[in-house]
Amino acid sequence: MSLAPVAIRRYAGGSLGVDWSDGNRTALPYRWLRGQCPCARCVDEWTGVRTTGEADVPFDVEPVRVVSVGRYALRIDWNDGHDSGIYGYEYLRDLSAKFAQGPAEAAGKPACGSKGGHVHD
Amino acid sequence: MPTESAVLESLRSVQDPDLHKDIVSLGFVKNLSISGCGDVAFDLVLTTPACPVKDQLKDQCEKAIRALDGVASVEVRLSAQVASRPGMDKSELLPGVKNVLAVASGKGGVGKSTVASNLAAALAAQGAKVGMLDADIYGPSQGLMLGVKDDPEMDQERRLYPPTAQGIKVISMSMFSQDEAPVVWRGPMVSQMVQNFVRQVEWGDLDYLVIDLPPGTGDIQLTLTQQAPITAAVVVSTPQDVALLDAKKGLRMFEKVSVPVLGIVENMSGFVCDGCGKVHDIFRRDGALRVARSQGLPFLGAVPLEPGVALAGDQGAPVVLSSPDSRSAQAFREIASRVASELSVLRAQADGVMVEYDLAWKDLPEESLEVAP
Repeated sequence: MSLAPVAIRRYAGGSLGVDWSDGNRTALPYRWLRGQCPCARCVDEWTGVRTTGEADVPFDVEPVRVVSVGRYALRIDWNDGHDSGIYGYEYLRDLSAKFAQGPAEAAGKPACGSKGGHVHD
Repeated sequence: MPTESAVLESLRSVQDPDLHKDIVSLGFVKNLSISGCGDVAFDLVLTTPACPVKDQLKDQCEKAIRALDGVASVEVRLSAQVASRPGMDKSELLPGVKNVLAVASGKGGVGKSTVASNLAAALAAQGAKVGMLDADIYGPSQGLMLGVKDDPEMDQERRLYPPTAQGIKVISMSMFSQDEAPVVWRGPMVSQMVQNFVRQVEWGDLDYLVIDLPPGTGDIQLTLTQQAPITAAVVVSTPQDVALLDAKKGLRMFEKVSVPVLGIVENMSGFVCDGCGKVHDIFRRDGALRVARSQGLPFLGAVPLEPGVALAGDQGAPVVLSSPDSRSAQAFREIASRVASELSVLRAQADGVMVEYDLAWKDLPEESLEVAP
């Protein structure tokens, strides 16, 4: 069975959580996650250089809808109108690892007070 | 007369060979009745009417119950309730469709559409409710192969009602192009068309919706597999190396979009001579079997070339219906049964996983996040 969510959670303090089919649980703060959007409007398709990052995103950004895309990804429609970001499940897991390593070096400072990365039971 | 618990206990000895569980735990046994003089009767509700082992299960049930004391007669009534795709109730796409099966090939000319129409017809012949979405933009042929005579109807809300042929509801790209002129489909147009097929067609309740995909592994195929909520796919190939190479590409495409592949069907697997009945291997033997093994996938079966097969398709009746006793018809029926049981297995494995969802974020309860120090 390939990697898929078992539950998607809205955590207080502004994090999007996923319980995965392999038993792992992850959570990522909205603004940081929005700043990692892999879509062509946020990352230059030719150079791979990020054009929209966390610093360009409103502080109060949060999801409006979270929708499945095929069997491999989810799309987040944000309250700032951005809705083209398709986050592959593998990509989301990579992001969680990246966030857990240290959000500061990964993508600038996270929103104040935000918590996330891997959730430990 | 035996007690209800004694009957159920003895039925626990009967296992479903695919799901590896006994039929009582699986909930297959329904409406059990035991009369005062020892007549035992119940429904055996399987996960698909195309279950390849239904007679075997029925036999085993009868034997198990007869072994009990005080049993005068046993009646096992077979029926089926097809398990649905996980997450179906949350889905906005194809709400009444329980399984979506894509039939794909790495290249054209391997008989993908013939396999698709015969699988659909074989499933329908075994009592399942079946639909066919012909998305093969390059050569939509299901209208011809299944002998569709009517056009789809559209109501005032622009909902499309598919015509029925051979008991199968059919929508084909060919129904929306004028005359015989080939339609030049640009990528975004195809994408839009498929969205419409999935959203606007009233498929009603279906056990299986078969999608005949365009051959190849290009952008259009990738888009289709991403957009349609496909439960699983089968890949069709001929035994030649060139075809098999492309079939492997097809497998990789599905892997990319996390669509499970049920297995490989080998078509044109030898030619059945209409004079002597001998099978001549025109291409190499067992090529698809080898690929399936090397990729760790089930080999779903081999369909020989028989002069009647193509003819039947051209005349609007898949060979499983027009010559049900032919070797190809038998092969198709076996493949359909395999496919149906693999889909049931898949359903059991995917229990609890979210497949299709559309979450309004504000409606979710806010949970507290506890992070270990």
